[in-house]
Amino acid sequence: MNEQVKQEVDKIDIPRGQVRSQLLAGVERARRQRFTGRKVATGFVTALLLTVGGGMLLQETPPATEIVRTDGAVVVPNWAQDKQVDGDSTAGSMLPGLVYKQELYLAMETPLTDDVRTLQGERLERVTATLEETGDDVIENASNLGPVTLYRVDGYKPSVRLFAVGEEEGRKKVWLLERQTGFTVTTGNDFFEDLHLDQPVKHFAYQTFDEWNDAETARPVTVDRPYRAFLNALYQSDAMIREEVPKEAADYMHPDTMKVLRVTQADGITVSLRLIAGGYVVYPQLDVFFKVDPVAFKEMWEAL
Amino acid sequence: MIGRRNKRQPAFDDETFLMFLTRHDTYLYKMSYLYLKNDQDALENVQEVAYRAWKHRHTLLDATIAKTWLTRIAINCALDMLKKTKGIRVDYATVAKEIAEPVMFEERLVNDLYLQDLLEVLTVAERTIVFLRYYEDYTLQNVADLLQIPVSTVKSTLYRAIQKVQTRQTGGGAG
Repeated sequence: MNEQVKQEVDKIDIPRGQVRSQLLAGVERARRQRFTGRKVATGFVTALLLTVGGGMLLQETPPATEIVRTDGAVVVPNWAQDKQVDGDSTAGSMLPGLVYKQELYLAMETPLTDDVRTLQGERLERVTATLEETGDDVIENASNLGPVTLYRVDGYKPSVRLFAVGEEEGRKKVWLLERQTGFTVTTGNDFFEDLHLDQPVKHFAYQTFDEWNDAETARPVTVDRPYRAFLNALYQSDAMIREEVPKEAADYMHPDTMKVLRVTQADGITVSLRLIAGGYVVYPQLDVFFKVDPVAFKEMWEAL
Repeated sequence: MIGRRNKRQPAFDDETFLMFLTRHDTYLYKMSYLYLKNDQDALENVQEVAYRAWKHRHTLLDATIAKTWLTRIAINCALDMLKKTKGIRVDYATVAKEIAEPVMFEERLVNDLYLQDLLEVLTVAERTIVFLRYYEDYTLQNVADLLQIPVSTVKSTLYRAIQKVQTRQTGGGAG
């Protein structure tokens, strides 16, 4: 019976490409919820803030738990505003990051090359509170990286990127963190300007959909020419929330609908841009769709 | 870590967990297909399984039970989809009476077993138990533990499933 069942079940025709796509789409959906629906982690942090005296701030500010369009702009809620409690607050438990001045910062994917490490600038402050602590004071800053010292990233506002220096297993450990919350964007310029994407580029690489999750699979590509027009178009693009884009674009985790452009900038930091068929660009940890000029988009898409 | 920390470490880090999921994607599809009987629903189920598994991966503390953990999620997702799309509810605990014939029925061979039998002749509950027992080689006790039903129910369900297939072969069944 065993062998008979095995033989028959193995006759099920498996659309392997689609199966893998669906699986990754499910993972991405869960990840996206972590990144954008801060209800997973915020429930705990907000409860913490409330417990230790941040309640007034929270009560004065209407909670905003989802990315929404408000007065024509796309609003990614402030960390402290988002007081949705999910009851499943451990879902984001593997995300390395910290809360600084009541905004969430998460570790970037960029390799920490020597170039990047030289960007470590002025010391800001020490963060020793962990997200598990409670106390008598308002905790604006709390980390899950262990005690860390925060530094500026030369060339960037501390409200955009930070270095955190701490220890892991007895060794010095550095994280480059990027802010994830508290944005109001109408155009691409509102978001990307602070990332200084307009600086010279050291090199480009691209990944297909199947490779997007592994930075080591990125292959060099020469797209200097289309990149400038593409970047201009990205800066001028319209920001949209997920519900405003076609379903095929919103559900973009498929081989034919996503390509990843990895841009290593002059300062050494590598950023990833997800190009979505239909003319959209998504920044990996921000669930906002930027609708780019179709001509510039097409030229870049076809160059990858 | 953002959020409440677990007292115990999860079984896998994110990278390893993703590898674990991708290694089992065709398994998840097969399971999904056996429940849902069409490719589109099965694909959708795979996505939902991956979503729930990733979301709750921190609850997996023991790597040795990872596949069983994933199987349970896959079953739950498929049952939810059956309920949602077809209004079918499955209660394993009541699918079969106590087995009346305490023999080594599992030694039996059916002359011809076809995928179509599994899909059309057997109920969802029977398919599940047949799959776990004969495809995944779970012990009777493991099937019982996974589905949270008595071992006797597992046995009787398997017995009935085999009988159904045999009946189909002799022309007396639904097949």
